[in-house]
Amino acid sequence: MKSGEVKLFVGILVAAVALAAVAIYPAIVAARNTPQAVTKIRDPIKAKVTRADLFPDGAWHKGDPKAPYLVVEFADYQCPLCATAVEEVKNVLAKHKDKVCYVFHGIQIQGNHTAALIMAQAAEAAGQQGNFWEMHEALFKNQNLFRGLPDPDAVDQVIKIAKSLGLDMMKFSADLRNEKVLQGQARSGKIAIEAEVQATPTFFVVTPKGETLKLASLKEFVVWMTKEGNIQ
Amino acid sequence: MTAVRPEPRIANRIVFILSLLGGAIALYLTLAHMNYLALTCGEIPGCAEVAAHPSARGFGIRGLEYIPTAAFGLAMYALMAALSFYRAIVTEGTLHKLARTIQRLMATIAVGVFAYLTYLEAYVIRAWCQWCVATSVVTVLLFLTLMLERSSPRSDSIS
Repeated sequence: MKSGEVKLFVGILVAAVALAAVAIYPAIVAARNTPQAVTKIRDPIKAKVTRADLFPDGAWHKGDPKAPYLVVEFADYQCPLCATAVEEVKNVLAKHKDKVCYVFHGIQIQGNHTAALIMAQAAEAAGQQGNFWEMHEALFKNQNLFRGLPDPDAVDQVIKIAKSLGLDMMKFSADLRNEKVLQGQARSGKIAIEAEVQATPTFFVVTPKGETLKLASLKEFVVWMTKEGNIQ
Repeated sequence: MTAVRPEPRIANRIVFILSLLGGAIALYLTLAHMNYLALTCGEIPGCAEVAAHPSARGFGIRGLEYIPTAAFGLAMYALMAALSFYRAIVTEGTLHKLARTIQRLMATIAVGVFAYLTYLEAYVIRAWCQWCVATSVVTVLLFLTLMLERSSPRSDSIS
């Protein structure tokens, strides 16, 4: 009786392991073939934040600040989806060059992204020499070098990247922790909280009518931006 | 009312199967968080948003963020299944009762934790992940099975 019950449990366990192996196999294949999670496209959510909230003076931007549409991205330099977004965002913006001003805010979305803040500060510090966007792209390109790095090691890594970009290293090292850079980074974090950013990348589009739309994933952003009639 | 209360042996089998089911989902989510597997979100939107939320790692608690929240669930289900297995071997006595008491205690805590995580999905993240909902349902079923389990087998079922 007792051994019969144990045999039954062992049988269930073996069957469960076999079933799990069969079920998990497609997910392993999918992980090899797709770089990001599969999500369904939702309609944009109307957000309460305004153009002025999302685009304060001194925020890093590309394009004419008076362009009719404002596109704002919140990203974490250690978020893999954000790194894959760089090229796609560029391509989408290139299609609406004269109508869109693009603003970027570097934030830390997860506590285990221990290097995210120093990376955001590195971009701000490079910006003091007019190289924000070069550093921005280099950080995303070299994202894997920062995985699990504590603060001092992350600083060494951003210094290496800054050197490779040919920056003035004396100035960059000083700027990395200067008040203006720290304030710029902290401001992005505050705006993200106000804008209720829950994940990265998150995009906001402010239309000429002053309406702010929240697009909570790269796919939603790309679909909205490329849909005919949305950008006029 | 007593008709829906399962015999200890049947209840233990149900708990074992539910623990394996919950464990499989938690294992999948843990591996997905560690980037070994693709997280398939299916037809329910916002699943990726839930996965990217800080609470998906160490319940969002500073210092625990290196451990996916699903890994805690995996540990709970594994311990639950191990205790059920133990109860299949040791079918009576103090240790059997102790194992059941631990299971009931774990299930009660787990229901509380899942209620909190479901609240986060509904009111904070405002997005749903079907895997999280599925594990919540499994946990509630585990809790109900353990709580409704008869304290001793019916006399006519003893062989």
